[in-house]
Amino acid sequence: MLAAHAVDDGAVLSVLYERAADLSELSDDTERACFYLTQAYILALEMGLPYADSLEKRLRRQGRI
Amino acid sequence: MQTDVEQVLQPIEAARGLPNAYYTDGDVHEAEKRSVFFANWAGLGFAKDIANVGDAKPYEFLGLPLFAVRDHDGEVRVYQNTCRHRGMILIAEEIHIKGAIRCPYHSWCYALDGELKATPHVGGPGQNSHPGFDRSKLGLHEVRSHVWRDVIFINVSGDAPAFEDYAADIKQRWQEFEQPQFHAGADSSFSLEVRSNWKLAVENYCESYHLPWVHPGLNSYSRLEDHYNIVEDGRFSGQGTLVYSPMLDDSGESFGTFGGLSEKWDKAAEYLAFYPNVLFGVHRDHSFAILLEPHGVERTVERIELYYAREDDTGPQRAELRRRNSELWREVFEEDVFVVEGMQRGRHGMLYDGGAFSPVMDGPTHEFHRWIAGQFTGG
Ligand code: FES
Ligand SMILES: [Fe+2]
Repeated sequence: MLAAHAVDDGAVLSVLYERAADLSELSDDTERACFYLTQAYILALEMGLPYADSLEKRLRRQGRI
Repeated sequence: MQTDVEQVLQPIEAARGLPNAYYTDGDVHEAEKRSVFFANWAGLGFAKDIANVGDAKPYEFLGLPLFAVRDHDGEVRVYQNTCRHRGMILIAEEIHIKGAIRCPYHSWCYALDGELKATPHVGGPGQNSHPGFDRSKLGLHEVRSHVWRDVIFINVSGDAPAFEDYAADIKQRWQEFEQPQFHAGADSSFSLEVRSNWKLAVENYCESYHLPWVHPGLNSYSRLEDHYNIVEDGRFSGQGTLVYSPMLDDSGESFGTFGGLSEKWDKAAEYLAFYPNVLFGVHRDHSFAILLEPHGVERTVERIELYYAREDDTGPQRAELRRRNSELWREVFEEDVFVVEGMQRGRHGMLYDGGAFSPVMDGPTHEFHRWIAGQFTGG
């Protein structure tokens, strides 16, 4: 993930954060998952990626927006 | 300063020009920022520089950090370039915004319409809202803007008349040129830096008195008596020529012309300073706009952009003729630099009283001074 930060590719980074969120959810760490989802969501929003909407919905479901 | 202003407002025979302080004094410059630049419609930049939706460009407008962006409706919007959180500069360089404007500090995100869209972790890690925090009131501060002849005009104070009213007289005069014009890119764009107060660039631009001396090359085809003053009490002044002849390429061809022009424009061309800081020129085949950017009291950057009447004249087959046209104008404007800078140095002469005018030749300059003085007295 630091590598993706370094190459400054928001789209890649967003996907990586979402993956990290998925993994945290699997291990029942909701706090961590929501942190990662937020990161993924903001980057997707910045990049204008359509799936920002689904990330937003996931965060809303968790009461995080 | 009241008496100084009164001398400026006299009829031209009795008037004196603006006193030295208007060109050299930091306090006057500071006052001018508000009374002249923020209170009116001033030129900020060029719409062509943000041609596509999401294109954004930052500006430093007399110290005020702004950026312009083309929104999803294709309109130019101008915002203060300051994040509503900790005041970070949002846009540091020309950039294409794909989705949202993300602040580089804590990543608050703004939509192109200025709305604050997301505030990551604002309620703690992974919590993007908070009951005591109202996002809807924290959109970007928008500055009133209007694009005319490709220039982005802004009214920072927000209380100038509508642009259409502010510019009604000049638009009326040049009604025939209210039609599309086309920019050809880098070969039609250049800038000059002058060590002078911005007003001297306006004043030199709008008079023809200096032409035979400063631009002797123009004499051969454009004599002093072929020029006329334009003074109408309408937030602009300048001059016109009756003997404009278009540039020809090797095979004797010229640029295409604007459609539907009246006979006057077969030979006429006009050059107007639109107050405060935009200089326009129109000819039957091309036009230009010069934006004067004050960088302090005694330094000005002039940004010059040329536009053609016909889109097909912006293609590669016309590149050589365009290059020559840009070169011609660059030479003319460069010839003016030494007088603009020389007048600036002259204004450190304490005994100078603003100067006496030629009652016949200096009308456009006197008109500009009257307008400037009026901005300080609320007139
Ligand atoms: S200063 Fe912009 S998000 Fe904090
Ligand atoms: Fe000149």
